[in-house]
Amino acid sequence: MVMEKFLILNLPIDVGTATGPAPLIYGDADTSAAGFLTDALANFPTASVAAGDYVLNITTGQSTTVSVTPVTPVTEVAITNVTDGFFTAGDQYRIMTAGEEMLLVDSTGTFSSLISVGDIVQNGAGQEAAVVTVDSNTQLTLSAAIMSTFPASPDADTYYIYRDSNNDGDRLFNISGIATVAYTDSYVCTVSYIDRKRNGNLNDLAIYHTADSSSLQFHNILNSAIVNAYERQWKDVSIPLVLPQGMRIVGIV
Amino acid sequence: MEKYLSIPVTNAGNQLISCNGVISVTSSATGNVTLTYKSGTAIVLATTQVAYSLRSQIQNEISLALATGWTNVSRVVSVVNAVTGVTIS
Repeated sequence: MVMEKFLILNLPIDVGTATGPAPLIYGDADTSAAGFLTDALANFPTASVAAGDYVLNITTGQSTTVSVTPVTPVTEVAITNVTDGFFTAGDQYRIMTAGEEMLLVDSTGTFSSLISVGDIVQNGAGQEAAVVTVDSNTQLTLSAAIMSTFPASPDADTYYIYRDSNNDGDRLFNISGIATVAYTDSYVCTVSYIDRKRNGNLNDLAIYHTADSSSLQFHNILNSAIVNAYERQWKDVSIPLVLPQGMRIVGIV
Repeated sequence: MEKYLSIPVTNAGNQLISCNGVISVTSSATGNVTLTYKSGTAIVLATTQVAYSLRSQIQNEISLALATGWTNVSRVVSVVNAVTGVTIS
């Protein structure tokens, strides 16, 4: 009897870089004036900011809307949330056209054939939202405003789309004959096999994942899963690798 | 049955090292320990040992691990000399 064991890894069913939505304007807040966003480097009227537009404090993750279409001073915009300290000096912000903030647009996307309602979208900064509607081949509506083409950091335009139930993203990962599992860094774990490739080269696979929230988190989970798989009966051949909320596998190379 | 040693590595947590298919465990008296497998793959444990101390321990631990029941998959090793890195080639 040949005993093989596999972990089932949930890989993204689609990966890409969003081409929209683009923010009307983005930058860093200057002060913490209650009810206002001020940025000496901004010109809100020129950026076509209008009442009702979506305002995100990227630093804190809190959102509000523009309460009054800005005219003058051009570096100041009134916001609906008048809580003192909603913005503090140095907070990153972006303002999106009302109604666009929940979109994911990719002009080269093939969403109609690949994506279903309920699929999970993760941006490059690790934020997640569910697919609410598949609007077209190039546009999705999400349950949260996590996508934007700017600013470049934190990364809100790279996207990975997952399906949590059995799906095309599930991939068997052979754990038979592993020589060692190495912690490469907080984003990568490398599995090396005892047997070599046909050309004699080392046979190893690097598993790329979202950042560890604590030291060696993914490495330790993977090690435990491998050991646990071999502690099971021989007929338990494939076992899902269960990851904590927010941690995802990005790819295997 | 798969058997592993779980070896603490400096700044890299505990690393699984396979006990299966090992054909030799070699080292100098004070230097790195090399596990060579049937396929030719080699794992080098970077260390500074005393009179083959870590090599002897690894050999003993492999023997002990392989003598346990099939549900004892991983054997945690408290190494006598720090392993500062693991390379595979």
